[in-house]
Amino acid sequence: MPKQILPYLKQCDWVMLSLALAIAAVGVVEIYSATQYELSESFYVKQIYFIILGLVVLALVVSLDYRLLSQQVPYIYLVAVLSLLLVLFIAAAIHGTRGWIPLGAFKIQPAEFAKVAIVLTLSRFLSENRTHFLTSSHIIKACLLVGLPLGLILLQPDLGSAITLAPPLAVGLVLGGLRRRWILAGVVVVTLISAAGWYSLKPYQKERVYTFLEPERDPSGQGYQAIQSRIAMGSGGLLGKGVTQGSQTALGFLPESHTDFIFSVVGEELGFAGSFIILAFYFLIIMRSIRIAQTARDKLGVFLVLGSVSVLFFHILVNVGMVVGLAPITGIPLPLLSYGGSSMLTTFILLGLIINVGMRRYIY
Amino acid sequence: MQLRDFYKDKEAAQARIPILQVSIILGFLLLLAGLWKVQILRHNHYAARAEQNQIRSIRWVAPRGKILDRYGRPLANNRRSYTLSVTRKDLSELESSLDLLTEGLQFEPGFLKSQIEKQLGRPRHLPLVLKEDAGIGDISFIEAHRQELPAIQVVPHPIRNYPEDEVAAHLLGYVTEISENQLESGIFGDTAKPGDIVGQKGVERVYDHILRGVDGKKTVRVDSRGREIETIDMIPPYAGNNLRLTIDIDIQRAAERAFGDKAGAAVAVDPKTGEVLCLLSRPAFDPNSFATRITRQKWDQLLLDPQKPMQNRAIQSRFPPGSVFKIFLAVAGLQEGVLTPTHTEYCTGGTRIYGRRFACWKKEGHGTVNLHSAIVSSCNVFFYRLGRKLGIDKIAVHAKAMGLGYKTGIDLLGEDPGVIPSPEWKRRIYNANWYPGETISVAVGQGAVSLTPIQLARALGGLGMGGVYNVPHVVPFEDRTRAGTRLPAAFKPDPPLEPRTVRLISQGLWGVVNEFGTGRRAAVQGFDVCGKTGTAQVISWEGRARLKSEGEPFQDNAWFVGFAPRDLPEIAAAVFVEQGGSGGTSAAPVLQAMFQVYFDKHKKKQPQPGVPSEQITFSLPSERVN
Repeated sequence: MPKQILPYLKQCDWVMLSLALAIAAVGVVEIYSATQYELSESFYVKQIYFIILGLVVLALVVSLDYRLLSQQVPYIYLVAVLSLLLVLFIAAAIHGTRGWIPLGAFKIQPAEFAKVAIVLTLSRFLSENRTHFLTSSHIIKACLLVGLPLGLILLQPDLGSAITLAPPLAVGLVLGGLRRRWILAGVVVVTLISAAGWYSLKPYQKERVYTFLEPERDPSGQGYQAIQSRIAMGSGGLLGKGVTQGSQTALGFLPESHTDFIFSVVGEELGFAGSFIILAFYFLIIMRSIRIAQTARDKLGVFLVLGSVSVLFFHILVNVGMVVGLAPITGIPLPLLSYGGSSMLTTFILLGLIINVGMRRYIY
Repeated sequence: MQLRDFYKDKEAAQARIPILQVSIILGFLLLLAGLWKVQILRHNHYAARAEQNQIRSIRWVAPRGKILDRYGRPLANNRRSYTLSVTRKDLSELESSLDLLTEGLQFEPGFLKSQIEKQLGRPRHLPLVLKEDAGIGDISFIEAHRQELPAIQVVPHPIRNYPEDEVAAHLLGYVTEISENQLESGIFGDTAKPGDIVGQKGVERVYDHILRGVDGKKTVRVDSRGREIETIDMIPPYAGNNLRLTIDIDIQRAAERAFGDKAGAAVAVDPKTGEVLCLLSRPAFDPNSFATRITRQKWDQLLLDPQKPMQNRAIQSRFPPGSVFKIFLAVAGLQEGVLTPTHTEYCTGGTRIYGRRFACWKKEGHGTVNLHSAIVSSCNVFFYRLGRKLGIDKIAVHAKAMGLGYKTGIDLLGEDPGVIPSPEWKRRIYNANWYPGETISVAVGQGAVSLTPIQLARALGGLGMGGVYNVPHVVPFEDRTRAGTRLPAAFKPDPPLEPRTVRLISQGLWGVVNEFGTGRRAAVQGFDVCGKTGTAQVISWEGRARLKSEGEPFQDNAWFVGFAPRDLPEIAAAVFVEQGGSGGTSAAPVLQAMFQVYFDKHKKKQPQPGVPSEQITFSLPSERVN
């Protein structure tokens, strides 16, 4: 056995895993800092458990050949859709649960795992296409495959999580052989849909967009988070105030500081230097992933890696963008840094898929 | 599938990877630009705003002005009180010493924890209150255990205190935090802020603008734990102005004591000026219980109590005056000339008017009565017949001319105008015709006629003064002018009361108290008290019988009104006792108590030889006109 495993272990991207663990470690420290005065729970200890659990799941994902994994796609997809339906029923039955399934001491967020399911499903579907360009029936089928879970997440309603399913679709279609004119058409259609979608947005969603455009408009309500997050980031300056020394964080001006706004805590306490390094680590992980995609053994691998990359990148772009005021406030967590089990597991599964493909590049 | 095709297939997908790569690099550059802008370019701006966030503005509560009685004795003042609080950051430090605190501050076990948990939802930068209104004992405990309890903040702030507790509660009112409605409506002025302590009810409410000070402010910088590290600015508060009332606390206390645990009201005024010397309503509440946070349960209890302890019966409640009204009937009769001092009626214990029998309270009858003996013995038959002669319109005109049926204009809120009924009034309110029989009921103060204690106190004083009705007020004239509130002028009815009328009625009222009349218990040795009892039936005879059979004997409402001395009165009062039985036994002693205190204070040392009553009775015949 060890002789068979050894070449795999050699091919495993240890650098990427180390970068991920480094980011997660900073996350634990900053979660400790953000919640040091909370009486109720020790979030940072739980986060350590989530990371360990994530590593175990990553090991499981890595150990199975991704081609074998992709054979299970119909079941994975079914489970994802069914759990999203279950969430809606539970939300109707138990007041106060929105978007999660209570499972003992844990709250499972199916929308997080739907991201993994979509990456796997699209990769399998698109890699089985043998034509050079995608036919319209392919495009429609791919859209429907994504549309069903996306619609279910919208019903929760969770606009933020729903749109995270769009990037793997876009990336999949572009790489899968969408004709250039279709790509252009797609850009136009997306623009039009966003315009039309504006009219179907719920008032609180519109309010979020308004506050994004002009945070001072409602400095105590929606805009409060945006302003306080920027004050935290900006007051950190070049080198930051030091871990546990962030006054914005400690004095409680930052809401959701250990979850969605963890990057402002990093910015306040570790400064531009710290946030730049974190961003650089993310960049390296993604660039190494793209390198894996470029050398992947087969089409399925390419799609799996780039689908995962698109999900991770989108989260980073929207979350960090939100914290520095480039994107509106959405409930999208920052992979590896934000507190939360579902998000942590999803991230490790996606990293596992990428490493999985990378490990089996040269092994036949 | 051929292996080569397979690769080709893969290469098509890989060919487009650079698009993705470039997009991702652009995305990261965008984020980096964002970071650069916020953290480097605008660092100074945001650092300044973060510092702003570390600056706390702490309210420095201005003490409210004291309320004093007419001799400067405190009716309402402030006591020092402390709030014990802890910042959210220091809470974890405190956790280990919760048991010590619970014991030291004498809390129930577990109370402190629930108290803290209740406040966890508040904004995180606000301190958590551990104990409001902590006493000296609590403070010394905290100071003694500074080593174990480093994080507790002790913030002093004044709390309203009413040293006399329930005494004059309705007159004084109480204070609470301003309500949302009051803030919105702006009745406390534009400067009122959330959290302000304002007067509710009574003097506290009416003169809030004088009593309330201007809060100061302390601006401090806090560290990242929320502890004060530096004081940046201090604006000391302006204390509110003290307010002197016309109340004499000795008279007030005497009345409260004489009242016992009965329900009702008592008002005493100085008829020369309209100054209120005593104003009480029973049952009362303890205004101190509002000064610290009152519990919902306690508040509901006060509001829903069938005895209505929050109602100021002295000005806000009207009751049928019963026989007290005979005074005003006699005035009307004399003024109109339908009654002469020598006119007599024969009382057989009842009379038949308009086909209906009206009973006198004395079943065996009073025999022959004239005006004087009718007042002294409170003969109903005499006044039934006088009422018939006068008719309701003239009764109403003369009653209103003495200020009855109108608000007196006292400087307290929620005064009831009372009711002097007339055919026009009945048409307006009930859209019904006036029955002649109703006039006969009104003649003895029953039926629709109902008056407030303050009205009667003023009317009696005004009568004793010869027809000058000063507006009752609880804050002295000169203080009111200073406060910018003008005192409405006293009114003198037109045509004025004839001196003869005043003399005859006063003589009758003197007799009530001093000639074995119904008001003997109001007598004050050497003070020539004049007064009149009243007993108002509150429920029908049938209802009374039913209650009696159920073992709950229902008593009549009792009145006693009067003034003293007979000539140039210095004090006039009205006492109302709910279910007091007869006015002579339950209400007269309260008036006596008030008058006795006044007499002892102002008259005893230089006893004035009162004009012998014989002289006045003597002079009467000579004034007889018709």
